[in-house]
This record gives sequence, C-alpha cells and structure tokens, in this order.
Amino acid sequence: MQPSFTEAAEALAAMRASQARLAQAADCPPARHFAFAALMGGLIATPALPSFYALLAEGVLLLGVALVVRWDRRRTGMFINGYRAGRTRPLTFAMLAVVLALYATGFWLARDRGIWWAPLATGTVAAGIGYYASMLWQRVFRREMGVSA
Amino acid sequence: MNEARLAFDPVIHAPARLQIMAVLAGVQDAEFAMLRKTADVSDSVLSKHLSALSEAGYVRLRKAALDGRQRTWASLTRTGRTAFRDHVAALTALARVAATGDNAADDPRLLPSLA
Repeated sequence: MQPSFTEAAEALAAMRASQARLAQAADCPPARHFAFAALMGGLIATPALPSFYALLAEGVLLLGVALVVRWDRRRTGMFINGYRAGRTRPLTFAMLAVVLALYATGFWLARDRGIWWAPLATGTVAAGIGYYASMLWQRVFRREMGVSA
Repeated sequence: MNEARLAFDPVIHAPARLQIMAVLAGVQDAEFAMLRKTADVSDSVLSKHLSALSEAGYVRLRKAALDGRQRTWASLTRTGRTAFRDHVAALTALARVAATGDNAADDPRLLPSLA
C-alpha cells in the first residue's frame, strides 16, 4: 500500500498540526523552570555540607525530581524526558557537561582546598544555567515540533 | 537501480494513527485525554486506534492513577518508534517528489503511486 502524493502531503500536514498542539500543551510556566533550576543548583551545592548531610540532601533532591515529574504529569497529562532523542538532546548533554564540571570544581575546592563555600557559589551558577537551559530547551522543542519559538 | 522500496507501514497509514504516533514520538508517555486533544480525535476513535497500535506492538498501554482516578497512559515501544520514523521518512520522500516534480517516473520506489 502506498499513498498518493497528495495523501502523503496531507498526512504530513496533519501530523505537524498534532505536533504543534503537543508543543503548546507542553509549555512550562516560569515556576517549572525555577523548580528545575533549584534542583540543579541544590545538587551542585551539596558538597558544601559534611558527607552524611550531603548524601541526605541528595536524597531529598531526588525526591524533588520525582515530585517535578508528578507535577508535569498532573499539569499536562504527559511527561517529556529531557534525554529524548531529537534536537534537544545536544543541549541536554551540553548542560550536563557544564553542570558536572561545576560539581567537580565545587567538590574539589571544598574538600581539597578547604573553601567550604565554593559549592554554594558553583551551585548558584548552576541554578542560573539550569533556568536558562530549561527555557532554551523548551524553545528548541517547540521549534522541533514546528512551532515558532 | 536497486534502491529499497519506501517503507510505508499499513498499520500507521490511517491519518489519525499517524497523528497519535507523532504525539507519542515526542513524549515519554501521554494520558488518554491529552492524546485525544492533541490528535484531535474522539474518545472512541482514539480507543480503537490505540488498540490496533498496541496489537501491532507499536504502543504500550498501562493503567495508572492520576488525581485519584484510574487513567490510561500510552507510550511508544522501540518497534513503534522505528516504524514511525521509517513511515514519516517515506511520506516525506514522496511529498518532496510531488513538491519538486523530480523524476518520479524514474524512481522505482514510487511506481505503485503512479500506476
């Protein structure tokens, strides 16, 4: 079975209309970007705490991630994984690389150099990057789904 | 020429199914009501198409509670994702030929549509 040229073009147009509706339904409010940024910043700041409390804080942050996923599902009726294949993936990995470098730097400065507050500084930077990356990710996703950012 | 034929998938051929697959390809999973809204189909049509896609092994369905009510969630399987990608690639190739007026008659992949 093979569609005609017209059927193919019409099917693609209908598909793109659905994708555009998906992108609009998936739009995040500023609070959602802020929640992601706070989790990111918090995670990077944990080396400022003694080991036991750092582990405890990381556990709480993981719970926070689960709550954000639940919030997404309740708000939009879907969940979009940040690591999904597509044009957003390079952005996800670039952000991950920067944030991991910040974590390593903060950890090294706090544990080896005794600058205990360094992770708080890198955590603040990571939160800023997280907020910007979250907004940028949404813009790239919208564009991929055929909606102008 | 020994190019492979375009991979049109009869299971995804129906426009509503293509729309459902397109939405699911963009997400990890989606709830029934959200799918109905974005694919712009009725409850019964969505239900019928989801069953067919599930039987073909393209969609995974599960029941889970949301706000205290049991709801149906759908996600694409790996097979479904591959089938969707191939089908869209074939549609795009066909639509491109139509748009540019390339030598469609010389392309063995398009012969049935010219018959």
